[in-house]
Amino acid sequence: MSDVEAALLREELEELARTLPPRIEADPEKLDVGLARLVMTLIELLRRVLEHQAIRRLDAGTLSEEEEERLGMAFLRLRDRMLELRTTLGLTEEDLNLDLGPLGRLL
Amino acid sequence: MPDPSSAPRDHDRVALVELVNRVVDKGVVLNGEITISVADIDLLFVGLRVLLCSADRMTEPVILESRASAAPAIGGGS
Amino acid sequence: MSGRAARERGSAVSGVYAYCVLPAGRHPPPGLLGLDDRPVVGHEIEGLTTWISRSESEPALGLDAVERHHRVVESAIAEDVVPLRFGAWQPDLSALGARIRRTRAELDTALELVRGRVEFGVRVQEVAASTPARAEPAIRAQAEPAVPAPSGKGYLRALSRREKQRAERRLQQDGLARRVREFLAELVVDERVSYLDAPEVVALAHLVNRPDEPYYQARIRSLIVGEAEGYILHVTGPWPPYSFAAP
Repeated sequence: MSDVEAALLREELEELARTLPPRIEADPEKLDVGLARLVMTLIELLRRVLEHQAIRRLDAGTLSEEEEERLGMAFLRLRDRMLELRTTLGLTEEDLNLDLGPLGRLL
Repeated sequence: MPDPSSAPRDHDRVALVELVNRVVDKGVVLNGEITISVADIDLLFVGLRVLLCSADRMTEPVILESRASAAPAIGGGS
Repeated sequence: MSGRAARERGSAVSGVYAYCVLPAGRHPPPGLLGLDDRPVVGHEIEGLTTWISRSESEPALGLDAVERHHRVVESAIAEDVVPLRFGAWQPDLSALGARIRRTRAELDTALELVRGRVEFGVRVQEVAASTPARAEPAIRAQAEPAVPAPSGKGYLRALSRREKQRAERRLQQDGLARRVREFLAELVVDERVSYLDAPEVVALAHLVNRPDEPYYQARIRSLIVGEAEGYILHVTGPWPPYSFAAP
């Protein structure tokens, strides 16, 4: 079972890594967004790996109840922080709105 | 037993989904736009799926068409 | 070059859009039209033929363009063909040549793999929800487990449960793919598996030798009719071997 879980995590991380462009746009107007994406992706990668590790510790039974609570709360806070960061780094609704031309706007 | 020919709309949709999944490389599309923020890769996935579900274009079912009969015709070129 | 000078020259567009790659000397049928209704021609580069049409710029992604792209590739289905994915545009023929040379090894490998073969698609769906998949709400991937009040333990345990569910689902998907594959046995030369979201399960791409086409169709049909365990199989094809164009 844990082989499958590891495979799933790897796929998840690969998919996340694929969202990074091969090259960060050097256009000054786009520069910040490119770097912001890079930062967000790296933190998100780390977050998922850490959560995966925490789950393994949980399943192995090597965490005390208090440790479980602390770990879980830390991840919950991290998740909220990611949400804040996304706003702070200026990734707005416009950035989210992808024009697919004839396929129509998504939002 | 479930009989595929009893759900023609399903098959039209499947044929369209199968077509788009083959012709369009999602990886290329996802990385195409520098201004997409990190989380929104998922939006694009959903965007494609929403398109496919709402497209009411009727396509001929491409089920087991042998080469000898009609070529699988995807779309009417309308 | 001004528009008028270009028109006088008779050829204004240097950009090329590529649909597929075939062995040398395999040219498109006369009168085949590609994107923007432009004629599709075969361009020979170092022992390979690339089917191209002229295009001022990279085409926008749209359903009509996707269907047209496929219609061109489909015309080559009787040949050994390596389909290209949508969007293979180059500013001119020499850029195309450079691109072909750069990916030559992969193209040769792909041509070898698809020689004398076609592709079939098998899409497996669970019967319980046999209606088309509904569009899902916006952010789907990291669907966080719902917790009534912020509780570290609750969150961690919910994460663990979610992991287990995903692993079980993956085992189910792999198991199904394997069963279909084993049922088809020697008829399947090669396979590509895609994992799908509920209510769909997996999408399989099977590479089949041309002489085996009728046997594959007959055998997969018998699997559909005999399937009693809550799955619907949607079979499509034959396709040009899109899924086997890359390693």
